[in-house]
Amino acid sequence: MIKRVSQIMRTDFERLNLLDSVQKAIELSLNRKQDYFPVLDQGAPIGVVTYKELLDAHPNRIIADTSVKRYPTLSLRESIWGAQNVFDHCDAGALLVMDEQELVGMLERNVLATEISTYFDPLTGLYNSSYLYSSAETLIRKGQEISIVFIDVDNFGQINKGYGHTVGDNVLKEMAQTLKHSIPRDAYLCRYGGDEFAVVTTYDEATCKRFCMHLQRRISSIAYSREVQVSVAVGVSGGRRGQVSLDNPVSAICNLINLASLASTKAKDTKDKLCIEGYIDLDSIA
Amino acid sequence: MNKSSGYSKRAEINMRFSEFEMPPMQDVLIVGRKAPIGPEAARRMVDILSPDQYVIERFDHPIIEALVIKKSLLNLLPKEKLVSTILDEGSRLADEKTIIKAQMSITLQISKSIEL
Repeated sequence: MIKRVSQIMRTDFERLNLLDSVQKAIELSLNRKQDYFPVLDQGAPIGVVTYKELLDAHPNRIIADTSVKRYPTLSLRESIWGAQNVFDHCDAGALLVMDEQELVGMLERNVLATEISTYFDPLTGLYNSSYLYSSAETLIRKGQEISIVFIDVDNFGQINKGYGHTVGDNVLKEMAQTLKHSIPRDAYLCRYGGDEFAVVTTYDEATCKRFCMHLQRRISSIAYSREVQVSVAVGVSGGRRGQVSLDNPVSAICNLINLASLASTKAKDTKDKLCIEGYIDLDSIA
Repeated sequence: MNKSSGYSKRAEINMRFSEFEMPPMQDVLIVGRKAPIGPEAARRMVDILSPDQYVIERFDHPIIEALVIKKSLLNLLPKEKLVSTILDEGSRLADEKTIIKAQMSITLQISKSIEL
């Protein structure tokens, strides 16, 4: 459900010592077809040097006298989304992967980009549900309480039947763009599937309710293709952190998403199309 | 018939002896950006051969990557003055692929008058 760095990292790579020569590193690079090298000082990784940087240096130099860059490292258990976040905040072409203090792998930016691209929903350009699970897990591990907002388009089947599937697709695209621009930086949006979108936030119940009403207003104010009238039902569930630390929050997240999904179904029969399922202890549903 | 071989092989050996300079640099080493020895290698060399006698100053300079300076010179001149003088003169001689060793001769002239 949540892909980890350990599943896509490279493990067959050469390491360089600070006192190795640039010439040796260039030969290694050509023989092993390796563009990034971890640099170790007395066995401990201290940075990364690239093939391009090696070519810029005199072959007689030691690695310590090349442009060894000190980047943050990744944990073996980090999700691919967490890794993407680290890459977004540095210019590294590759990051070192650690299991506690031990260097166990290397993750290259282009490998991660290829992996992440498979999590894009091609129709809307939003991430798919894996992103939601990972974002929720990160927030819980940071000790945050979370709310899941599940957005379900009313009568989408009728729109498809009445206007045709291409119009239905356009409705989803237009809605996705509006949601994308309505989501604050501390909330995480995905297309969950079909005509369903989901958001994970750290808002409490009252704030989340205001946020949902704001989204509903924005969605219903869009001028959709062929002037289709669109409304959505919104279900919310929330998880509080109890005293127990969650070793594996994924099952609690699954349950919360399920509750929010069921709440969105209930919301279809309410006047304001909004149903808040209440906030429960994550420990009790883990 | 006198048969001569016509082939001989000889070796001439010339030898020159001189004292090894300790360390093999003098007062200052100017390290170019693409020199065969970088500042870290130079630092390790002087630390092993002459521990605690040299300091390394790295720069964001188009040609010169670092200076290795004998610490005792810094007792005679403030570091900023010494470094700017070396950089000023050194960058006219050095290119980014060279390492240049420099000898510095510093004479301080002090004139003082005291009450009798």
